[in-house]
Amino acid sequence: MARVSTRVLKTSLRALTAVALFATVGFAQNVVFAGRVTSAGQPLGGASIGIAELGVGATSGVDGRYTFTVVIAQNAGRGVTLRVRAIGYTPKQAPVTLTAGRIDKDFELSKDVLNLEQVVVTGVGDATSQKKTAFSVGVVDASQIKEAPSSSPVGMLAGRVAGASVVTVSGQPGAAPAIRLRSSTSLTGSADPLIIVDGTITRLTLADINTEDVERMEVIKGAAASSLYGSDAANGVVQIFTKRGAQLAEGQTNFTFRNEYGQSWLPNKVPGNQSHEFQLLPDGGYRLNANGQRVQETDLIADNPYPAYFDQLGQVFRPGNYMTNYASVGQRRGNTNFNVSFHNSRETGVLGLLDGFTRQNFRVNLDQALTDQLTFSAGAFYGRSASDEGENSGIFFGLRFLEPDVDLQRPNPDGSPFIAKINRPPLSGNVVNPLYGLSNSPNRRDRDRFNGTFKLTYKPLTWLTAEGNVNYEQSADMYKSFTPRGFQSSNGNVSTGGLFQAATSARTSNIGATLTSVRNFEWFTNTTKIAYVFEDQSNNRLTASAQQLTLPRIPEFAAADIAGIRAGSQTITIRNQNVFAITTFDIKDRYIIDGLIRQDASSLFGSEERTALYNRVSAAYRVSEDLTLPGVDEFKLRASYGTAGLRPGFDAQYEIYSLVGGSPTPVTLGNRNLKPAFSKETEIGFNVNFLTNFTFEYSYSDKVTSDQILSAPVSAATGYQNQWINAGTLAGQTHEIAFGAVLVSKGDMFWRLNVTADRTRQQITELNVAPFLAGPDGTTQMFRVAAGEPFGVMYGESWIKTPAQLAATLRSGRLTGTAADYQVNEEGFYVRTSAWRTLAERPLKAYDTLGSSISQIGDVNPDMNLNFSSTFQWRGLSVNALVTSVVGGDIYNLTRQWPFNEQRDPAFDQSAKPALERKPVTYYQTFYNNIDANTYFVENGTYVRLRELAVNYQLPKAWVQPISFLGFESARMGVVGRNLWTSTKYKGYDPDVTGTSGLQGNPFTYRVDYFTYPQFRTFTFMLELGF
Amino acid sequence: MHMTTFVRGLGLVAALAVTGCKSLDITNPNQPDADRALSDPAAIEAVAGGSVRIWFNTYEGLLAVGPLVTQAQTYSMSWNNFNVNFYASIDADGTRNSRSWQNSPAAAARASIEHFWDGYYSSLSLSTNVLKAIRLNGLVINNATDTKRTEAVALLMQGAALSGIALNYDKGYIIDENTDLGALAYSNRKEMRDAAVAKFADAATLANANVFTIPATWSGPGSVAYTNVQIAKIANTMAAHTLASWPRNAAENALVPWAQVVTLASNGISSGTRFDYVFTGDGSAWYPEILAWFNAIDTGRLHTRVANMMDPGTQTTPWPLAGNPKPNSPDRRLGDGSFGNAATAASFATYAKTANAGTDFAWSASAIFNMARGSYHQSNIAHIRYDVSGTQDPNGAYGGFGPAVAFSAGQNDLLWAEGIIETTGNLALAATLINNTRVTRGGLSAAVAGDGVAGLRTKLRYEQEIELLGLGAASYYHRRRVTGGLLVGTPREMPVPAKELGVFGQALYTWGGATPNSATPP
Repeated sequence: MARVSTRVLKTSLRALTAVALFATVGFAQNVVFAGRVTSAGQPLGGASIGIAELGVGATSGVDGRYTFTVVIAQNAGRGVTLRVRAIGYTPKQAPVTLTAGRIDKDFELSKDVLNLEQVVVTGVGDATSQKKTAFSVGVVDASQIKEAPSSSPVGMLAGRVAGASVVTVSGQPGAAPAIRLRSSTSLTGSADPLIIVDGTITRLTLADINTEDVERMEVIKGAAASSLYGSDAANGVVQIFTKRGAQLAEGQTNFTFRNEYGQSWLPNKVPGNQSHEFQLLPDGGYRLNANGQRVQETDLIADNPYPAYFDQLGQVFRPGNYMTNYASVGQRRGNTNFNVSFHNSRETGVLGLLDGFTRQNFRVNLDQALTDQLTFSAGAFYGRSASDEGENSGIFFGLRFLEPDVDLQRPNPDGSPFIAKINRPPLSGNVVNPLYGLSNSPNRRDRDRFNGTFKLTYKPLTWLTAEGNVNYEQSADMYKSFTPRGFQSSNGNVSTGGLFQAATSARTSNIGATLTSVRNFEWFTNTTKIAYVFEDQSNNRLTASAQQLTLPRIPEFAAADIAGIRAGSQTITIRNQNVFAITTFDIKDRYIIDGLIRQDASSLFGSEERTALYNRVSAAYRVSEDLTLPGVDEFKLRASYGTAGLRPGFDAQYEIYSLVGGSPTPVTLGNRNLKPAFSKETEIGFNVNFLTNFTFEYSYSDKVTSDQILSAPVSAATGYQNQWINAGTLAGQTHEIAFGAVLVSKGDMFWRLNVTADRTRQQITELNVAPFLAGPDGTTQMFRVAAGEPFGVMYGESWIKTPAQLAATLRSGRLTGTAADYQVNEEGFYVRTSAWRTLAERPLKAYDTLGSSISQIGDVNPDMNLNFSSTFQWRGLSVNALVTSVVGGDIYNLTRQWPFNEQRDPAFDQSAKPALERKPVTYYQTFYNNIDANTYFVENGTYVRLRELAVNYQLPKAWVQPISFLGFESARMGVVGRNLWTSTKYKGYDPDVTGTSGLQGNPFTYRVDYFTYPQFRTFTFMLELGF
Repeated sequence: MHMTTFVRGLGLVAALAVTGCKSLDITNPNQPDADRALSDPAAIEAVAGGSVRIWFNTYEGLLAVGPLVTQAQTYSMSWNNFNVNFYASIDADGTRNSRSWQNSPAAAARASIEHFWDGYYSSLSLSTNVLKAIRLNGLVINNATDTKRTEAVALLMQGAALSGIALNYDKGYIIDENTDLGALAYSNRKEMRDAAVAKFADAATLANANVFTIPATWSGPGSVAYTNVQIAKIANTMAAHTLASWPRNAAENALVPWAQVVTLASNGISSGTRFDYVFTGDGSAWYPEILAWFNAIDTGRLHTRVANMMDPGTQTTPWPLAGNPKPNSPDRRLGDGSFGNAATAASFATYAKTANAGTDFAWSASAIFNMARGSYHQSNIAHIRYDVSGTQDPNGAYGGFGPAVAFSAGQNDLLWAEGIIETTGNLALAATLINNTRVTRGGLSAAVAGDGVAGLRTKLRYEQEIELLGLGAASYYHRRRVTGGLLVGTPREMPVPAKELGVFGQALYTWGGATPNSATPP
């Protein structure tokens, strides 16, 4: 950026000041506007009344009344439009002529039950009515959020925004879900959209932000809309606005005190194998051989009952507490509006012995008009949270390897709680007592978060607005994992303990300046904005670990053998400088044409490719303004084409030598030409509102993201291992529909139903590196990345179930004999006839005629997401329900496969079968298949879920009277259920499952069940008091 | 007042915007690039040490060594970490006898082919950078002595890396400081072998001509500081190993220049003052992975075939479902298999040490996984020769710490003896060399010249099987591909990894099945 001299700056500012003075100081001939805004005969506070051409207006008070004064000056006799707008109501306008004196004008507004007049600001040049947007913008507002707020705001997008896939990465309390908007844009990277909170481009977790503070969320889902945000917006943008009292009536103070208290529990238990194949003694004990090993029966059939049974899942999981308290004070008075809130929550989760997640947040937002032209907005947020985490100790893994006769609550021989040594040969050390780990090896995370926002808005002219903003955010995260000296493995091995601590400090800021012009001409309005945005981000991480503790029960490094302490650190600095210009023509209120151009310069791009250019052109045509269609109230066609990017990771561009043991070793060949991935999206669609009470929106998106940022191998002869290059193209197509219907709106009764649905297909159309298999981890890799493949298909091995598979396998030479030598067994698998119902019976692996056993075995992509939400209100009663469903698509159940290794799956249990059909453990162990992917563990991922149900009742004022001495004037109470009911055939804990980090950096854990903290069900009572 | 506020506010925003124009050229502070990593003589010297470390970790690395030692049916492991079980076992469905190397970028088990390739070429790249700096750019590291020792070690590592490729792949690149990387061409495995032996010879010559001691840190933290004489002997042993271990089958074995092997081994690490080429594991940077898994009672085990060799009376092969009882072997390395104390017994199902405890092996009652699960031939015998877990943690498993031998004096004896036997030389000397471990450590009856070539060869093979366990893939894999000890269809060498072929757009291929190895190069 060119330097601006101080002298030039001062001169410019003086000139601007002079213009401002001229604009604000006039002659003292005034017109006073006054009146009352009502709805259904009742006063409507908080409505905004004004004359846009003159930049003047007011907000109605609690009594619906408003007044404001216009200095006429040279505008005497001019015709202007007086407009009134209130959130949730259909706006109105009236022409007036400016003449000195008083003009009284009352307005009666009707409810906008279909949200047709909703105003959005994301992706557009200036606040724009949804009627005039040229692309789809999803909106979730406080009215949808307040009934059953989730722990993280992102969770509220589930089922409410078409095209938004919200998946649970972990059920651990405090964990934020992951989100993907429409199709994937990155082959190996994150699907996270860009998140903006009150203007802060945040790089930190949304788990810190409480949903109750959210006024509105806006979602744009791809480059066709998100070009405005440039090189980091190909995944779409979610913009969150928190409450700031701006919607209140003039003079109104609003106090809300909301409390929820309830319990959570695990809705679905997954049992293990309840039978075994060992010989028993007459006293019920196991028969042991000379080596002390349990002796297997010769038939190797697991059909013997265990000597005892314990409800191990009942011992590990327990109902947990859920509590939130939220207090908020908002006020609008004169030139000031503000909102202050405090949030406290505690979720213990369903895992025994843990305290779970606690969070306290404090937020204040303030808008202050200094003059008619000058306003500043400021906000501050501080949050702190703490959680003790069970997931990192591997308990969900060990839990699946338990035999049912192990009493997890039995004490150790020394009397300490929870027996550690539970392994009995031939089981491996995979088995652990989760209670022992939870009790003795704590993992704790503490985080502090601060966010500050400041925005100065100046309107030197009625058509010109200058804005400057500074947003700053920081987080300090401390993670500590402690295994005390003396900690035992399930084999009884005693460890010297271990300690790991990581301190992460992250800071991010964005500074921006914009100039917005809104000019009204005779037959069109033009809105043009130019802007500059600077982003500065830094992350510092310091880690220390020790494997040898010299003292027990001291969770600090002072207790560690200093020779074994290892430290690590990392510093990341990222800077971006972006400029853009956007212009929108609104022609006769029916033709909207929009175009933008943006240039991003980023430190993340290779030094020879420091800048990237993005653009967008879009248009909308409000057909119903020209044509009258029977029953159609509004019909809009729209199309948009835009480009956006995905930035490379911090170290991708650099040549890297690693320092190991003090010696430098080449790792990554640098790439000065590394570019951001380039995403192009075309979105077309239409909106139709019909028969007064119905609305329907359809969008089709075609995304093509080229220049995929991939780690490509280089010749080993160079000594380097890899180089990040731009190679590959990922394409996706999404169909989305959103249907809204007001089924009843009569008197005190209101019932609205919303339906959203989407279907996404995605393919790798080009790959300039060799095809490869990826994820979910280094042991099991099943997702094939190759040109021509759908993205998300699983490859692995199959078991012969069809004559064609048998024939191909015979032709491959991998099986001997003829088809007559094989038959289908009771489970539908072909087995060798001579082995059927013998100890030698095995499922047979399918090969193609070329001898390959690898083929496509599944596809994680759902056929469709289909969601229903309903809002019913009758007098003081309100019932809100959200039903989400995923239709089709597969889940790979790795959580089930691994325990096949040690016969712990219920499939091994033969006790309920007729004697002839019982199969030996060796038959089922075959499916373990060295933990390589195979069809046995591919399951249908379809499910339907009642995700939210809230029944609330606004108590009659008379009932509130007894507590009015405390100042409360209103009270609501009710019950809230989350994740209440699920219908699925999936065999795991929950079909909404994605391995840790899924979509957030490793797309190859999406819909892979991977020993994660299962989701739980929550039921709470709610009491909300207010005045 | 208002305008003043406005001007100040706008000025603040403008100032922030201007100060926001920080440079976008950010240096990566976390890892160095070549300029910073190789900026001074000390860094180049460290690179030489790094080339040794990478060679060691590659040589001992389980991704490749794990499948090789279990394909050889010497060790056994029922875990599939490092693809060990995938490449070594027989599928429970009985549909195959062995697997070809999965040489496809879309194959999960491809990593086992990449391990040696990536590791040896990484080490070769570092040692070549060192030699470029010294030989082409005239770099002096401290003084002439330090420069020569760095040069000698770099040459040793060039030989070691080329040897690793020659022994395990059908072809590779011969790279040194004079190679133009823009004109890479494959050399066949015989050319690779000869290039390796030549580099070893250069290293030995240079080491013999200069007096120095290499830093102890070049063999792991707190390890051994080898002298120039020892470096020369190490080079000779590694050259002998390269020649002797190179053949893929019996026919090629006959073509080995065994006389040269004798010459090299007679000047190797068991000549004169005997010593082992030993490193020290630190559990992370220097990590003898093969020991971490196969000197741990609860992970890897001896194959029942080898257990049976030491004690046919008690250790049957394959393992019966009930397991094998405690041994009573005449070989003192196994003895009665007792180990540790009562605490160890509680953890590993061993039984407490007696006077007849073995030095190298321990018996455990427990199986790792259900033995009915597959045909792993997993014995009750664990290799514990290098298990120093007792010094670290009385009851802990081996954690990659402590001494790890890459080449032992006994190994040099056996190379020397094999050369003599194959050339029908001084059989009495061959017997003596075999007895250095057979009698001294094993307590077995002495080999004598009268055993003849066949008898001595049998005793030699026994020692190779028992004595060399834990030294990389060692001779038991390379010998068994010569002696027909591998299952039918087991590959005898690895193809160039698919990712390397992909870089140059070359066709994928593999070894195993009907074509276990490439044709013998002329």
